[in-house]
Amino acid sequence: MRPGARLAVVLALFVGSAWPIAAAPAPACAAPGPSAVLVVDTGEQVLRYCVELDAPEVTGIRLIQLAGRQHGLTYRLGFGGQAVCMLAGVGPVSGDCFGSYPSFWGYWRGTGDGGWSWATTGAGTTRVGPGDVEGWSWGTGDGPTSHPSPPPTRAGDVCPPPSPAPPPTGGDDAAGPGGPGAGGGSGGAGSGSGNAGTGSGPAPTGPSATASPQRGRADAAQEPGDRRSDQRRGDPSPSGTGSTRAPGPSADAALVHGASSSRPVPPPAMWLAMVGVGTLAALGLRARRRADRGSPP
Amino acid sequence: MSDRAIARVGVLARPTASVHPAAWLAWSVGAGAFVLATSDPVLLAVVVASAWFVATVRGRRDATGVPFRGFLMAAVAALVLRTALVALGTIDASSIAFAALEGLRLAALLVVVGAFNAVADPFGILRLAPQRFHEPALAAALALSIAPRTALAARRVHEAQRARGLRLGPLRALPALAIPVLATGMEEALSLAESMDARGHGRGRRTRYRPQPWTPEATLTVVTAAVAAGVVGWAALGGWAELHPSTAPLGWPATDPRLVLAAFALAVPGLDRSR
Repeated sequence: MRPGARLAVVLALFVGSAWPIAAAPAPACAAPGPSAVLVVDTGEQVLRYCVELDAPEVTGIRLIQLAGRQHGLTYRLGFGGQAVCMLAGVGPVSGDCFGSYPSFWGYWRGTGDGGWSWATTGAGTTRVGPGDVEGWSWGTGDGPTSHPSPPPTRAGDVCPPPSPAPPPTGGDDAAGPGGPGAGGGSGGAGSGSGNAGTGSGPAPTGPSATASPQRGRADAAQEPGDRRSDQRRGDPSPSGTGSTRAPGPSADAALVHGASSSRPVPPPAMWLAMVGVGTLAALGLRARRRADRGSPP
Repeated sequence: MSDRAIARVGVLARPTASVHPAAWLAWSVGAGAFVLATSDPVLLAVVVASAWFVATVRGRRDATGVPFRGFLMAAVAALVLRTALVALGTIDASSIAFAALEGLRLAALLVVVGAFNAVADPFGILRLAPQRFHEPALAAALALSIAPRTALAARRVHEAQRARGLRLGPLRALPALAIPVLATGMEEALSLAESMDARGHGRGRRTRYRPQPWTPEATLTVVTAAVAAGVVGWAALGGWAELHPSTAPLGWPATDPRLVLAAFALAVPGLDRSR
């Protein structure tokens, strides 16, 4: 095969595999799980996310990744994925998380009553559980007394309160911004039925029952704006929404299905990799056998 | 023999369509950049497989440096040692996984370097060095061949000593071996340097007697490496893929299939019909 033809085959495989991923619609997955709150204060705006957890406890870094998948928060990690360089378009995008020193992302942990305490360990080693509040603030200052803290936030301000009676979630599988928002709105009901042990009490009263769908819609209304402003500042790729969203559906599917089935599934890319590695191994061994048998060139 | 005859023999003796060493340099830089950009075990495994494939198919039969197997063993050792270092901190599944991923990155880098060493002629690379850097480049090329030459010299000296009736255990034989082996090594290096000097290496203008031709395969090698490094660099800057899977909680990495294909692009230089 001529080198040019080989290159064409490689590119065709590349495009051919990307197409089904990009075209796959967001599946309708119900049964949301426990959530934590992520607050991102860039100095110019404050973003609050109710992030659904995919495990009983996750790290602070993992929470940011989940917020990226569920709400489109753009982020960049550094130092082997253990430090936060950029959030929502603010911060250095190079590998060095302190490229904009003295400004950097300060890491705060909610104290439960809306206050903040300065985190003493990195976000790669902290444990975030349901109902926890995590905060990141951009600014200068090396410690809690000098670095600005995010505005006081309680978990209940951002995540809808859990209610035990789950209304049917039919028609919530709209792709794009509506999906996670509506999921968040009905997520309150789902997580209430899922966490029977958290003592959420009997059936919700009238006002809160109507409040949660509205908050869900408010979240959904906020998200497209957030994502667009995130992309305007933080996403240099030309295809914009397409490229940020394209890996979303399959990744979200793995995420939400994982949470509901409580067993993570290997990504389809792993099977592709295994098939390719097996092919390479076979071809390589065949070439070596041929070289050993035949005369050297 | 006339110059023409030497030239003809030289052309026949060289394997046909060998890829220009500068292309291999670009390939290993691209593969190395790919490894440094991610800690995803699926992607790293694909890079390792691709590098092994390229080294196996394109490896020079007249290898004079450290064999590829040596680099493979070093890679395994790096992985094991880095994972064992987790004992310095808290030991749980997440920290073991993190240490293993870091070790896998080191191992992948070693395999890439080993593949480069297997496919690129060190003296071919040496020819590319500009005049000013000729001596350090020569020293580096000689140093690459020192390990196998030393092992060979040690074996020869040991056999000679046994033939003279000097039988020592392996540990006691070490001091007896050291001096002859070092002396032999120095002598060989000196004679090699003298012969190269006699042929005009490093003196004045080097002739373009047998320039290495740039083949389409070399272009393909550079292009595929650029594609792989470009895709992963785009992912790193654009943030559209998780290049560093989380180890807490432990779960399957959300690998992007496009990155998998980009990693497989590194194996394309090994697709050689003639072998």
